[in-house]
Amino acid sequence: MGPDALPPWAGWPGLVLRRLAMGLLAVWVAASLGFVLVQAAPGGPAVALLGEHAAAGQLEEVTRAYGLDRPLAQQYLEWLGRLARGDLGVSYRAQAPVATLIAERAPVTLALMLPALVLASAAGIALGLVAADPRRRTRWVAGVLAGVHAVPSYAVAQVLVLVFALGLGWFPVQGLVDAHAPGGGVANLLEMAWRLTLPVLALAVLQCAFVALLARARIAEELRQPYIATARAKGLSEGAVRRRHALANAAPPLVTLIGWRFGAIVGGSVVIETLFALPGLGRLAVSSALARDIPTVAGIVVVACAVVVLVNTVVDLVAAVLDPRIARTAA
Amino acid sequence: MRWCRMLLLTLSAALAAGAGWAGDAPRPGGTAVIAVAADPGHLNPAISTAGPLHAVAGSIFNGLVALDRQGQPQPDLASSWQVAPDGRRVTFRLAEGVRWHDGTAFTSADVKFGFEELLFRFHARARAGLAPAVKAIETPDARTVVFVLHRPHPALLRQLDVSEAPILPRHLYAGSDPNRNPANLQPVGTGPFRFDSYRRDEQVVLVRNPAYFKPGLPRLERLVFRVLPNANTQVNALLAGEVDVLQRVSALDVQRLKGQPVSVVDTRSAAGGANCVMTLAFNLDRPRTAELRVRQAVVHAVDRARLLELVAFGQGRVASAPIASGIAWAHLPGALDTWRHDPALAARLLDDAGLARGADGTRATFDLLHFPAFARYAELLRQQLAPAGIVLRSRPLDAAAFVPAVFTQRDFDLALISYCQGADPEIGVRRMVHSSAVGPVPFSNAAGFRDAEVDRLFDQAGSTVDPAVRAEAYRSAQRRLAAQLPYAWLVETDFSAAWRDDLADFAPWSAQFAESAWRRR
Repeated sequence: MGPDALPPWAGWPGLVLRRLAMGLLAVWVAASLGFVLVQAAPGGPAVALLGEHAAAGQLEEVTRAYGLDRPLAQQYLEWLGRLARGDLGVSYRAQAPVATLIAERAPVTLALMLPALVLASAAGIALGLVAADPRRRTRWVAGVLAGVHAVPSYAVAQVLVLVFALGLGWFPVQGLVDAHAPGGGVANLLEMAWRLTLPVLALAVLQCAFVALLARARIAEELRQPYIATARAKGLSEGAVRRRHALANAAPPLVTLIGWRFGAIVGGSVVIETLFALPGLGRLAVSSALARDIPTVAGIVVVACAVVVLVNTVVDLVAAVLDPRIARTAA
Repeated sequence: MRWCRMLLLTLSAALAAGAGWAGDAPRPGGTAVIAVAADPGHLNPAISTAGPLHAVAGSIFNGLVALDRQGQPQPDLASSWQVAPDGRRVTFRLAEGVRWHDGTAFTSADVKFGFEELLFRFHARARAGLAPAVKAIETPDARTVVFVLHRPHPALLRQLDVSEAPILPRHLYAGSDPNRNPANLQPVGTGPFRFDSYRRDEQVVLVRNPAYFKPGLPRLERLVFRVLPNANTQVNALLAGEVDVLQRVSALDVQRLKGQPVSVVDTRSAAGGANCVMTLAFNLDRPRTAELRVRQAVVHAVDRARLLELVAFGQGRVASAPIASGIAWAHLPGALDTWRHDPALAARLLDDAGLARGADGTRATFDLLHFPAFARYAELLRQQLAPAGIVLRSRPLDAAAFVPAVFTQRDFDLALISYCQGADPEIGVRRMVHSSAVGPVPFSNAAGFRDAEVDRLFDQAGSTVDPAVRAEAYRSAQRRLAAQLPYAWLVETDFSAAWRDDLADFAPWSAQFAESAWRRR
């Protein structure tokens, strides 16, 4: 019996199980690397905690208090044991559970990443649809997009700040709150959206160029297929041909590739949060790494990796829904 | 006609003066937003010397004395003091009507506890620089504190300000582990501003202390310390009016601020330290850098005027003596004049030292350790030493890595360190040249320099209150240091602070910079 004769759900349990197993493995490897790399970085948390002028005796005291004088393998196994029970440990610096710190910061990072991802995907696909040309006359568009994609996000951020914040005064330079305001808090969602506009744009521009490049290439490829000629022969408009036929068939690999960009956006948010002084997970990761706050850095790596793996798994499943052949191949 | 014009001129001058007076009279109220480069972590300044923490805590607490722009002691928690003729007893009379922010009365018991249980045990500089000189702290009554000293300690008054010795409340810290006390995150001080809120990695908010013991102060209603790790973002935020004060501005950014409604002030001191000198430490424990001719060669290969021009953008001076020119009474002008830039002499000295050029022209490769922030100094030094055949391998390390590498493992040939000498050589110069300061104490004697004569001179200067004797001892020590070259003193670096023009009376040289500040509108 060939794959075409299998029921539509045939490959699903295998696909889901395999993805989850691979995901767990990836989280374990990444988390272990995170733990070991921070440990291997020169210097320890004691100097970071006590200040540059701390005396040797104090440094030893703190090193002992946090158990950092024990063998690395022992520290790693203890940490892994706690992790298996869902305990991310306690931050050296904040003296608070790492899970609490992450939960406090995650909303800011999500408020930055999700709009950036949606914006980059929507604008990228729209650009790809317009620029796709089966006869390759719009190659220059690809050149421009590749150029934009090569600009690092911190440079994009600087340009946006110079033009829209300092030049035109439309947006603030930094921060989620107005420090001069008596309450010091975010007045409403609209203000928050306004304050996040430049950071979201700075994060989205690069991803948008990437998605547009991919979409343009995939749609152009579809436009060269014979079924497109059939669609045109039915009298469909060019827009309808592109949207309903070419894009629909180009979608499964596009969804997968956009899903992969989620990881890149997680990385990009570290830079953007630092530049725009947003108190998100990226900032927490950087300040914790500088303070050699090992449990916090390792905890963020675990959570970020788990989210990336989860998103990629969901994306794979969505791709399988869009193109049932994927699940069947997995069976 | 003439008298008429005179009258008009006089009237308009009087009006202008009146308007000026009205505009310049300090007004209460308003918020000042200050940028800090890193999150303070906690707000207990008695157990840490970290810069971002002290930048915030300096407005919450007080020291026994304050230091003015010239580094001279002024009353703070102590309203007056008296030094006994033999210099071994210093009696402080505490200010009247001082209360902690929670309403508890401040007494001499707080001072005794603060020094004995917190500062002498946990504040690295007080523990190393002050504790060994203090025999006992006596409190004959609630408003009198007596420091009984082992020997005269002339730097004492300059080691008692809010950065060096902040006083914390005994009633909240007694019997607790000061590293884990909840008051570290809800600080209670005596200072001009009370703690309001702290959002990690975002901002700390302080509000005016209405019961402050100095009448009429503070004037501002709120201080907000915004954590802005990126220097470019700090400058942009200042230009956009989102931030009012930058405590540290790089020389490069000062150029950007020209022509803007911003005041820029260069000072020799800031919350982070005073009289700072960019210094190249030679590791004397390694045979090649222990050779005097090699050190002399390095010094002659380096063009310090170019370092000042290209890296510090003229913000400072070429160091002319081991003790900074800001400590004028102890400074020996011209002590380093023989260190002229002379690459040919450098090459001859290296030849004499037996470091011949190899096939590729290299004589020696040295590891240069430095903070990432000093990368431009490291790069220019690398370029300047290359023609002499010395290859510098730059190893940028953050503080958590730099301190153990230099002061514990001693794994370096050269280390670039900004030594802040403070207001007295006892505070910041003794620790870098005295043999007793060799060891795993951060930012102590990085060179590992041991010289009996320099020790004797510093001991002499540090145990008398006679200014003439002290000055002569320091001058003699500097002649010897210039000849022995344990360090290359490169450039005296000034700090630049910037604030928006609508703020007045800022004191950027002090950690308590906002005590008198006010907003024009």
